[in-house]
Amino acid sequence: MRARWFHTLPGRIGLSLVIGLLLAWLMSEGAFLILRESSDHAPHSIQLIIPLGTAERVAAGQASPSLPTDLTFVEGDTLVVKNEDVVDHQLGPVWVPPGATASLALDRAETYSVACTFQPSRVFGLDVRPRVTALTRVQAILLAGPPMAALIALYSLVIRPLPAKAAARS
Amino acid sequence: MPRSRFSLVAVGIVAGLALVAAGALLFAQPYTFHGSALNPPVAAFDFRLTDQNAQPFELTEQTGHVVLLFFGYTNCPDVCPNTLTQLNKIKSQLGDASERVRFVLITVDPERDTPEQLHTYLNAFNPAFVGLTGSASEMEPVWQKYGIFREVRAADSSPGHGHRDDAYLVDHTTRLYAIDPRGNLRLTYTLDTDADAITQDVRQLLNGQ
Repeated sequence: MRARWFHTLPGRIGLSLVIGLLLAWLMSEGAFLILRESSDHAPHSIQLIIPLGTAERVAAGQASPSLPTDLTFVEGDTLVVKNEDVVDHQLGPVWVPPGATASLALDRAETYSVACTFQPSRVFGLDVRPRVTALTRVQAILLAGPPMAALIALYSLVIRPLPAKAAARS
Repeated sequence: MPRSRFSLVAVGIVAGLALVAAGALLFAQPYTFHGSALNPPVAAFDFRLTDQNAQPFELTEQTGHVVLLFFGYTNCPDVCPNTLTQLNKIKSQLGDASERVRFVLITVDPERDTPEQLHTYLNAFNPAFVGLTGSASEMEPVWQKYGIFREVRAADSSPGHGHRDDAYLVDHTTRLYAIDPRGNLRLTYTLDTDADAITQDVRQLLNGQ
């Protein structure tokens, strides 16, 4: 059976749109699945333990090997700082007396460098990423789909031009 | 409506309400504090200092009240006036509940912040606020236990600014502390925390959260 609609401009554009949206969906969802852990996990707590002797090491200009220099969160996560040292410590807005544990709900996506007392650089990076919602995923498909469809349509016209009659009509 | 049908409708309504209540209980989210929360809470370091009326002020005597505590000084050019303005906003947002809240400024400049000086300064913001001072030996352990950094530095003596020997600034920690009615240190806030958010947290502390 000859697909006559394929040889019309509206048919070609429609098919390109379907293929474009399908490819955009495949790519977007594929990327989402690969990066899921860093963008869409259920809200959870990430604990940072400041070991005994950290202040002494920092005073000597040494970094504590067990402490990172930055952390990445997703909106809704909670930062928990447990201070096992003998002096109080600070990580940005979180202040922890010796032997205590403090937590902070990170409910705003933002990237900041905050003052901290347990790194010789006195700076710590906090990256709070926005949570990926169903709406974000649909937006990604709608943003990527139409340009991809336009390219497919152009490509198809180059490799399989419309018959002269159809081209003249459109 | 026949009696049996009426009973059936009544039972349906009660069952529906029970289901809604059960759902609300099941899915109710626990309150999340806006400040940095100490969990488990730690007993707030107790102190006995002198207030702006030259009367002793002891933290343990504030049981039953939420205490909002910050460290500053009356010659502070920027941070302290802003914090006191924010505390005023929190106080007015709390309305009658503010009767159960103590708003306390502890000086980081006891040399200049006498009770009289604190009295005059705080009256300009809110006479209900408490200003505390003491001798250096009384203040040191309080600063240390609350993790207060303080450093005295000369005020700008460049031409046009003038210079006096007693004109100095004190760099200091700007954290705000919330102590619950049981005397536990529960929350700390940075300077940029919204007053509305702190008010919500204080209400939770007053409700026994």
